[in-house]
Amino acid sequence: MRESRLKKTIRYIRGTTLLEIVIYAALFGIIAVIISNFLIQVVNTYTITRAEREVLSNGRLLLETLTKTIAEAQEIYTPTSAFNKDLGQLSLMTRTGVPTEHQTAYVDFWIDNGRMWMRKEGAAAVPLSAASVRVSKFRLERISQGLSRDAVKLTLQVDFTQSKYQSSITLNSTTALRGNY
Amino acid sequence: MLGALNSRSHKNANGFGLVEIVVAVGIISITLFALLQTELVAIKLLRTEKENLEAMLLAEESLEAVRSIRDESWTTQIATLTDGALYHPVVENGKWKLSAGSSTVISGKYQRSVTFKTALRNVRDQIAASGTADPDTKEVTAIVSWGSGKQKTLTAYITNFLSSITPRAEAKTFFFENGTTDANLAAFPSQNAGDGDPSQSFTTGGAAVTVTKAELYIKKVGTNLSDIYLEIRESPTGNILGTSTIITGSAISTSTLSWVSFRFPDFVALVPNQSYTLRLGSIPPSTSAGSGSAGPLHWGYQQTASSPYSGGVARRYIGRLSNPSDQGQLLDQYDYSFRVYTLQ
Repeated sequence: MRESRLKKTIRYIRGTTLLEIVIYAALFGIIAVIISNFLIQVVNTYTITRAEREVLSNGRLLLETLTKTIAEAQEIYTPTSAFNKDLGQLSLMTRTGVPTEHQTAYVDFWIDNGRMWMRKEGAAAVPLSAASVRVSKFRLERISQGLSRDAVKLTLQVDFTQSKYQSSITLNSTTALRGNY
Repeated sequence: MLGALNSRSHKNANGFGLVEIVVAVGIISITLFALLQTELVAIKLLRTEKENLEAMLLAEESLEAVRSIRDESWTTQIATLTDGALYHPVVENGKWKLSAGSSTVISGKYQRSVTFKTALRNVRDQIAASGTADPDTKEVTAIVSWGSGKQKTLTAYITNFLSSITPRAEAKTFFFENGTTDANLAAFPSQNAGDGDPSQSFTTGGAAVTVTKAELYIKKVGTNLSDIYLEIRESPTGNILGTSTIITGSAISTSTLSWVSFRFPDFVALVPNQSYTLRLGSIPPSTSAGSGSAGPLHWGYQQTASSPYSGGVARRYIGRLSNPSDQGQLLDQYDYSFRVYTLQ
């Protein structure tokens, strides 16, 4: 009696465990695949969001800095400016924020290794764009409208550095030099 | 009894664990799904914002272009426009110009246009919906449209505020306009061959002058012409006294020779009775082989046994093969057509 009960119990436990393991494994497998898929997608979309945000905020900051500096400038310093090139360079002569002993100061913008740099006369060069984005186009055109109207037309393209998550912004703007208006 | 208890507790524990896991997984999935949806909405919003920024800047650029054109001349540029008609700003020969109709597609998706409307003023001289037309004030509407019906509109008023200021005048002072032969004399810009630049010299008169712009009689022959610019130098390879704005190769006429303006934003001061050289340059440089320069363009010239223009000479192949001191070849029977404008 006792023996037969024990036998029954052992058989019962064994049978259930096997079936359970199979179902459990199958369920676990399916669920694991779904969850990991979800997780990968969440991480992916997070990176895409980051790419879009970085590109947008960098593009906006660069454009605002450039247009404000250009609008305040007195004139363009031609010898160190490079126009009509995809990676141009701009030097401006300005009267705003100059060292006390000077009347005017020079401000330079250029691209080095995908980053935009700015240097004010007498100060160190500072990077304007983040390392996570690449400025792939900084094209300047000089517009000379009549005798005394000087303007700069600029095209700025900012891309996300990781090529797997592509994001890009192209901004067009024209700013007249109002320092001499 | 012990065995029964054992088996029951086993069964219970296993069954409960499975359900628990399913529920937990369910909750986690829902959370992740929600997170994913939030991220997707964020991406959509960011992309919309990006489009809005790009479009807004294009519309602002339209207004800036209109203001530049107004500053150039109200009477010839703005007063002649038709109210309500579509225009779009384009850069031509280094300056803004209004062309009729809507623009071509910019940055792959945007189209822009500008319309003008003469402002009406009421009895108190305020801008109003009805009243007398004020010919010196216009309402400008800049529209940028993209995608399916998306649109940004900016409105501003421009006035003829410079009317009381006498504009500075410039006049044609040194010129040679008989060079009407349309042929390839200078091989400029050379097709990657490093053939150098052409130049034309002229001599100033008895007074010191300030150069504001020069015009050359040119046309485009190659389909892809490099961007070009003009320099005023002391001699063909001498010091650069002034550099003009850059003219986009695509803006130059292909059919016939025409006068193209090269403006010097920083005016160039010249002393009396002195020879100066107008030297054309290209981007990428025509002087270095393999730079990617493309052309050629034709610069109208005249040939006579004795040089047709007594004030100067023409040259070609200056600075060829990246040698900045190469004076090129003197063309003593030829002269290119040019006009030099000075401040009055």
